[in-house]
Amino acid sequence: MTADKLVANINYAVAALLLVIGLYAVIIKGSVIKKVMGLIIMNSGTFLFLVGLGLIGSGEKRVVTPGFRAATLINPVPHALVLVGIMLSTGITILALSLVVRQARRSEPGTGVTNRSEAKGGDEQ
Amino acid sequence: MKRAVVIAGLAILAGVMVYAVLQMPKLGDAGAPDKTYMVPRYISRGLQEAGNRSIPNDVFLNYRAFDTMGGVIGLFAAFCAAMIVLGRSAPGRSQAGPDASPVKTSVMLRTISRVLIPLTIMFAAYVSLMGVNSLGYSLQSGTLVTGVIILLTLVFSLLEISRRMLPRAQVVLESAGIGLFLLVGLLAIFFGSSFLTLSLPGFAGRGLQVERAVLMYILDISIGASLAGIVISVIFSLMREVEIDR
Repeated sequence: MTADKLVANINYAVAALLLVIGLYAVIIKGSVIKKVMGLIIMNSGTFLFLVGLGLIGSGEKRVVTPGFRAATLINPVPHALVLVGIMLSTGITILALSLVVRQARRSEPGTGVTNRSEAKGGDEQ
Repeated sequence: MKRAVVIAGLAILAGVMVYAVLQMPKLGDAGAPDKTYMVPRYISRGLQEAGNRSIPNDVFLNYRAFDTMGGVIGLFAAFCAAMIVLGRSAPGRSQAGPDASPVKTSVMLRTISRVLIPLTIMFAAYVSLMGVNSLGYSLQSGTLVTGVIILLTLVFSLLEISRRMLPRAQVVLESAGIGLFLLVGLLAIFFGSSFLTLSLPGFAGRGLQVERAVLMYILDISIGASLAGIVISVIFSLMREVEIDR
């Protein structure tokens, strides 16, 4: 019975697995970029969980067509929430990566944004 | 040692989560508590009240438009913070590291991208135009356009592509989401209703359907456009390594 329930709720179990994998990357990986990737994986797990909550029946219908039966349409609210979540996770990723790149440019000499004057034929500051 | 401790801790966490999953209602169960209150109302009256055949789009752009606006504002705020940290890349003067390589990009890559890119843009336009009333969102078309620009930047150089992007167009795209949401919200107040109401008073019948569809479409496009503008600007700033003074 436990195995049947787990197979029936496989979406949620995989979402939990993605969360754990993302958390592992955030804790264990040394490179900051890989930690950010771990955060993105955790986001994906969360979205998968939310979208899975919205499934009704076999999930074949999303759009009202002539002669539809209301019982076959999926729950629309998680889709809206996940879209907002995608926008916000994009924002978080943008900010995290910009901080990482800025820190890398500052900490390694010669990797900042260098100015090159074309008129002088390639002098670098 | 640290790795073993972390793996043990995560295994316990995974076990707790799987135990919680086993207590949940079955996937697709129509009688689950979260589906018995507002959801039947959205499904049965979505088309009349919000005017869109696609019920998730009704919820995203009409019933829960405030959440969407919050998301757009959050994305814009993160973009502003990223621009403060990185600085904008000067158009036509920024070079990425690989641009300086004497090895030219492979002919195959350039040819394939020349063939694929117009098709991708056409698909993005299709998803955006057809999607509002059907199985699509403008957010995805914004992502497709961003992917196209990233492919162009990698295959050809950052210098070339950033030169062809008009700075004013970029600024308009970036602020399109938040600007159009506020404009539509204030338009509703101007017509005597509350903020961000899409069914404006004074319209009825066919006029109301058209007005609702137009406003919903404007909101949808603005989200995709702003996502595209924001991510493109950030990618250019992240890739920039050399600035050429002219």
